[in-house]
Amino acid sequence: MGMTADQTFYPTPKMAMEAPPEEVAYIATLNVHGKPDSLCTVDVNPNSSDYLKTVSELSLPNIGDELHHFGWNACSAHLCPYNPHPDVERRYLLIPGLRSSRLYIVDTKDDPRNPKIIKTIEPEELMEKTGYSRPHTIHCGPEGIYVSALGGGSKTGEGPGGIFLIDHLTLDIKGQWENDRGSQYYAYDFWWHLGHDRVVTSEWATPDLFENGLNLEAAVGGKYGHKLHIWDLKTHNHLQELDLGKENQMVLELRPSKNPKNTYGFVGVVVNTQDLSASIWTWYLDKGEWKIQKTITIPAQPAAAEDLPAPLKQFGAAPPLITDINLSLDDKFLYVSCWGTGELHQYDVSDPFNPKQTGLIEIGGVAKKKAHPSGAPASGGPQMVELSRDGKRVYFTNSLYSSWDDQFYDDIKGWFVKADVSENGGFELDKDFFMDFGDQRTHQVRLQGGDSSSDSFCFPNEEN
Amino acid sequence: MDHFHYGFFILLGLYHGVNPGMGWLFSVAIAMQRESTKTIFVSHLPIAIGHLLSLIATIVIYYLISDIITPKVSKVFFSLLLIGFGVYKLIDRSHFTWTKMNVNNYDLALWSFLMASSHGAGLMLIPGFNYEGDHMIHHLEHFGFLALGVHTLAMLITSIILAFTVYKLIGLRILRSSWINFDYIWSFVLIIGGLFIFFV
Repeated sequence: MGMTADQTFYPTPKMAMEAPPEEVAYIATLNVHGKPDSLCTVDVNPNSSDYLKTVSELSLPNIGDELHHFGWNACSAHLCPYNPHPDVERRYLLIPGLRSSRLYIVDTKDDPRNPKIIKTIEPEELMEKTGYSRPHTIHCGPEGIYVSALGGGSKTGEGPGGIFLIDHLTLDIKGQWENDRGSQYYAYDFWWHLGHDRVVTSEWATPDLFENGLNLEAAVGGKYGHKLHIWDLKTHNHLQELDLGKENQMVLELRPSKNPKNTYGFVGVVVNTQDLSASIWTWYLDKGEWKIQKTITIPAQPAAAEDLPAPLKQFGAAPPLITDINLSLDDKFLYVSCWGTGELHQYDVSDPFNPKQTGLIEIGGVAKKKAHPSGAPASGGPQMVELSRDGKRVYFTNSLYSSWDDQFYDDIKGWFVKADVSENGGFELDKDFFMDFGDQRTHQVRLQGGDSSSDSFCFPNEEN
Repeated sequence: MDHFHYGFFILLGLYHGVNPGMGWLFSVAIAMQRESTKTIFVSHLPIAIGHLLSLIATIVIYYLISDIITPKVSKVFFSLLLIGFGVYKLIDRSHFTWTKMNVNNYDLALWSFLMASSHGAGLMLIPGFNYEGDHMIHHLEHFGFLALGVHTLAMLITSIILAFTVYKLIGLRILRSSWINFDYIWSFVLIIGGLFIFFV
């Protein structure tokens, strides 16, 4: 707790774009060969002698955690005016094990290049205190640290998933967040419109449908999640559900407008079971009622059966499979990972109902298998995508979830790359930036001091 | 009220007004959300009412307790209460939960009441009531009304000026550059108040 404001906090999203460039990136890496997962710290400062080196690897004390969307204990939401506490420091990363239901908390303050575990919440404690399992996404917010969890509070994970809270001061579990969950059963991502007291949650599935790989039959039968849910941030009550239709399977990453004045946001759908396309939808508030419409469709790409992995041979096409999206802090550019086709798209979403594609990067892909411009072979495809706060550097990795990786890609090898964004749109891979992680599968990236998906804001952008 | 009392209550009014946790920052956020300068002024009415109600509640309790114990015991009791609360706030950093940005006047008054109460804004004023100064206080009700009125007015004016200045002129960058941890200062003011009651 300091005397002054944490300098990584910004009152408005546009102000956060003035943040200095990150010097290190934290990457969750997954091991499937009987070795523990790691948190790797990578030097991304081009002026450093350690540039593009893993400067430390924090090997976790357990095997099989399957790290996912880790996040910070504190962020710009601590400037929210009803309880301003910018003296709380952004220093701990909370790292959830999606498969083990274990949660690690590491401290980055003493040596940002060499984080240390300071606390571990074991699966039994997590399940008992929250009624949930399979923790997935971390967001800091007005009531502390929010964590989404995909399974109910048992070893098998039956029952509804949801959100639980962790106290941002003591780092202890506070309990389940929901008061009345209404029709919500599946969980995945969540975020909010802080200026309008609304929470949005999305749906992947329960553990029985994802832990052993994608169940194609279930997907064709519309068994995976296909809805969004709108909640009251204050009462924790379910208000409304938005059904995208059973054919739109797996509604994942939520990116509400960063400006708290706005009432729209973007969500990615992994696959349409009728034509294998993927899509981006825009939700919005219309006269007190939340609505949603499809605003981007990315079609499947025809491919020869021999070029396709086993589950896709029958279709003769590579599905884009949108697995992650990211929105710049000025709400201008949306980045869309097409893990199946091996593409990263950039859209100008200044008009959220009429996105225009402004950039395309191709790397990997189930059929194309395109190499990195450095010449390095690239298995997998663009997956977790993170954007620097100034909007100039896009970092991304290639692993999705171990059992799904194995279905779609043979012997996936982890990599970490960067693309540079041009001022008025368009972006390209930095041909000198390719980090080979070998058997370590790379997942979520967090940038030092925050990034475009780490913070939320209570103050609208100032007009000037 | 003598000069000391006026000085005391006005100074603490300024201090509460400057504290971003007492309302001016919330007022700025609502004004920005609604794009309305008028909101700066309108929102301050419920903020001031909530603040005042919290002070009245504290001071009424203070008088009730003072009535049943001797002045000597009262001196020790309130001195320890303020020091204890100040120390407690230094150690326990938790605060009440509030997540609502879309507030009406009632919400805002309630928020301000809770904020003032949980921080012990009324407690901070007790030294001013405990210290009789050069003149014996004959009409407590009259004195209390004037003291809290003067304090709240000073708080209100300070808060409005700050909110207006930040909203219209300076901008929110001040939050990054000029933030000081008001919770620490707050605790020390309480502790000094407790010592004042004890020694003066």
